[in-house]
Amino acid sequence: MTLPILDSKSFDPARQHWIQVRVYYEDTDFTGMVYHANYLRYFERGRSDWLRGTGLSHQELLSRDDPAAFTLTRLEVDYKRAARVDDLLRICTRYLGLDGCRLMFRQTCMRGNEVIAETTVDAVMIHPDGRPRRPVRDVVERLALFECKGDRQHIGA
Amino acid sequence: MSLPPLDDRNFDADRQHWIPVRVYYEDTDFTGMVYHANYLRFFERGRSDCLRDAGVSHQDLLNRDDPAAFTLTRVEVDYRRAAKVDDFLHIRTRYVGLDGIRFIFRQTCLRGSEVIAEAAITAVMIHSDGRPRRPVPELMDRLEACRWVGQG
Repeated sequence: MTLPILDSKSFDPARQHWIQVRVYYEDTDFTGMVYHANYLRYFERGRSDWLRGTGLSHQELLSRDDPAAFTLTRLEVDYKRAARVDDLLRICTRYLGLDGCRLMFRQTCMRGNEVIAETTVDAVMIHPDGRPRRPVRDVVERLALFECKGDRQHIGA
Repeated sequence: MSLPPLDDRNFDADRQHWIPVRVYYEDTDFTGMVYHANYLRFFERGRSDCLRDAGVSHQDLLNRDDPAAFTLTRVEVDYRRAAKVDDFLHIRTRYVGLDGIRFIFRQTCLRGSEVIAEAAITAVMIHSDGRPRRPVPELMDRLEACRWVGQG
């Protein structure tokens, strides 16, 4: 698969964000396949780089006068195929917007045109001590510019 | 919470399997909390030890004439509370049963009586090349003997 045309922040025209992940020894288990929990690490890199692409960063959020961070409240992963050492994977990240306090993401791990794994992720903003907080207004407004429209109906399907 | 009485294979009266997990530096991220992906590692230890205590070993499965292994097809996790460094957690594993060729597990990560995270896990058996296969019969018998018998 050729990647769609990406802008300088790695977004395609549909506001999907893409990163590349190479599979190393450390990612695999004794079956020779990528260990299932490691896809969560790849997906997290995708979300962190997506956030960076929107112009924000975790450190910047923590350095605010009212420091904020993200935590996950729920995730679902469907494992479709196995990835192996040396594979070059891509993580596609779609931000679906806010539902109450929850930021909703849908992500896909691809090897070429093959879907390796898919996930839906719900995140909330927290104070640094872990207490939940309402999403920070200026942060949410920024993120809304990067919302992928028309994908919401797939959640939980 | 004190643990329920366990037999010598770490199953309680409802055939829930229990293991302890201590949280170390390596398990946490910069927020000071356990990194979300690491709960999947904790849950996997719970399932592996549940299988071991049920008499099923990953190495024995791979050493068969027709080598077999497990792979996950679906994971759902609900994160309820944050665990932190030094916390002493327990993983409670329920083998719910077979659905076709799929093994269904429900697992809970607890700190005392507090629920930290809950998982619903679907696994299948595969050949060593990754192709799905029917469950190995003698393994199913051993697992069936350890199937969760509680309610709820």
